[in-house]
Amino acid sequence: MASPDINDLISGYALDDLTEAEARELEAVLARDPALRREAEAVHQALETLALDAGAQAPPPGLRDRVMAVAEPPRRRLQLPSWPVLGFAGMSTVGAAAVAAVIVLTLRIGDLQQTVDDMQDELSAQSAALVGIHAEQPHIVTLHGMPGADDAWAQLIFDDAGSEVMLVVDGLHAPRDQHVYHFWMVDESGDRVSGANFSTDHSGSAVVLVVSDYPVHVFHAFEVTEEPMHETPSGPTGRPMLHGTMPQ
Amino acid sequence: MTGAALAAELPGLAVPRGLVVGPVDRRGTLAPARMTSERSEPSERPDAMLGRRLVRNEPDALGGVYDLLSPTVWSMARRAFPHAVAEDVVQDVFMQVWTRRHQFDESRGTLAAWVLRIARNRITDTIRAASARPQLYPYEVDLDARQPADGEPAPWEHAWLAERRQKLRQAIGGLSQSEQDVLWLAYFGYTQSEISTRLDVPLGTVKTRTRAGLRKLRERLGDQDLLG
Repeated sequence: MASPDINDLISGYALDDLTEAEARELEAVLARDPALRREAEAVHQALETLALDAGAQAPPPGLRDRVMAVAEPPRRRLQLPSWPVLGFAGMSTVGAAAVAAVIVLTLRIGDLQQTVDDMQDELSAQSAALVGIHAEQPHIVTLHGMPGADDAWAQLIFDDAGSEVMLVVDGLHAPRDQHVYHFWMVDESGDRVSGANFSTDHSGSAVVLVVSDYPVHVFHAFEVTEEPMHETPSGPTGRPMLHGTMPQ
Repeated sequence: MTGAALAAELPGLAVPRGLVVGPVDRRGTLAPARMTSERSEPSERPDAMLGRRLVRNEPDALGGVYDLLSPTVWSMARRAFPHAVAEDVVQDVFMQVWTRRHQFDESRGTLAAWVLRIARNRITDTIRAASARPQLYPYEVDLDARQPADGEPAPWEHAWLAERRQKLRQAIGGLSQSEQDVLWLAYFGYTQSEISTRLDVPLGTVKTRTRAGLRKLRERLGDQDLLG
């Protein structure tokens, strides 16, 4: 059985009410004690069950139809009438590298998935043509949400050449008014290369295609920050929303 | 290849199935993912079946999820928001369930837990955004808006969920009302300081109540993972 102090820390963890020092202390203890880690998870689950205590009132009539109408529209194949260049990111370089062109394409993930479903029999060749990914096993780097964007995640998908990178973002709330998200590639010296400006839709999703002069493999890390709109930052000025590192 | 050249070759947009996957909601992932074998419930429980249908993109899978869990999500939202806002929140929750369905991983938790966590996060985010502009959005969590503990399950509530709700009510009955109140506010993302202000009790008292309440709830639930 855990000591009272540890129990307090575990409760504080479940309540998201630990200082950084307390969180570190708890992590250190849990790392050494699997049973205590299970207990921490059980306490967290106990709090999650409070949802059931809210009750089970009937939702308003018509709400189900509205949800279904938006979420499951008739299946269709997504056609791109022309290459939808929504904007070139403000290209800026830090250090020696430079990005040649950036094409930002924002689509709802739901539409994207419908298309995937419609085209699953011809996926490999078509998707390779789409992003210029010619490897059977594309490289994937996952970016995780930072504090304040805990639900966000993203994946970078690229082939061995690494000149074209697809950034798939989900769970990232729309940027604040007069702000956009900015994708950065970080080289070994820590310098950041501007990759793309983008925004997310109402469901927190975006798909961004970045075309670079330099293979993405040369970069060691990637991040997304929130930056003021209409400005071309020479480096990140806003808080990081997503971060990921290139697997070694 | 330039963007223009790339565009010329594009007959449509496709990404290989399985690439667009990511971690489940990161909130509360201190412990490693739970193994399926640790569950005490058979896999035929309604949300397990629905979860697989949802991931497979089967027709009306989302409708099934909505029918099972919307009464709970709606009740959660109504504790925090006026009717119209709650409608928007619930709609958005199920939109997220739909758009993020490929993130759902049965081996990491149940569909019910996943959906209700999305709902909690959505509600918490909305409360947080509203609290920044209280003149425009004077929302306040209604601590009294709760159905009575006793009584027959509503006809629209799935028996499986109703049974679990009853078990929770039995467990939570061992907590004082003040402990329940602080736990609910903490559940909705209020900081201990905000709870102190809201309930007009000292910060130390709030901390004592929340931690004691949570500990009691954990003890009374024992090994029951009602959402697991």
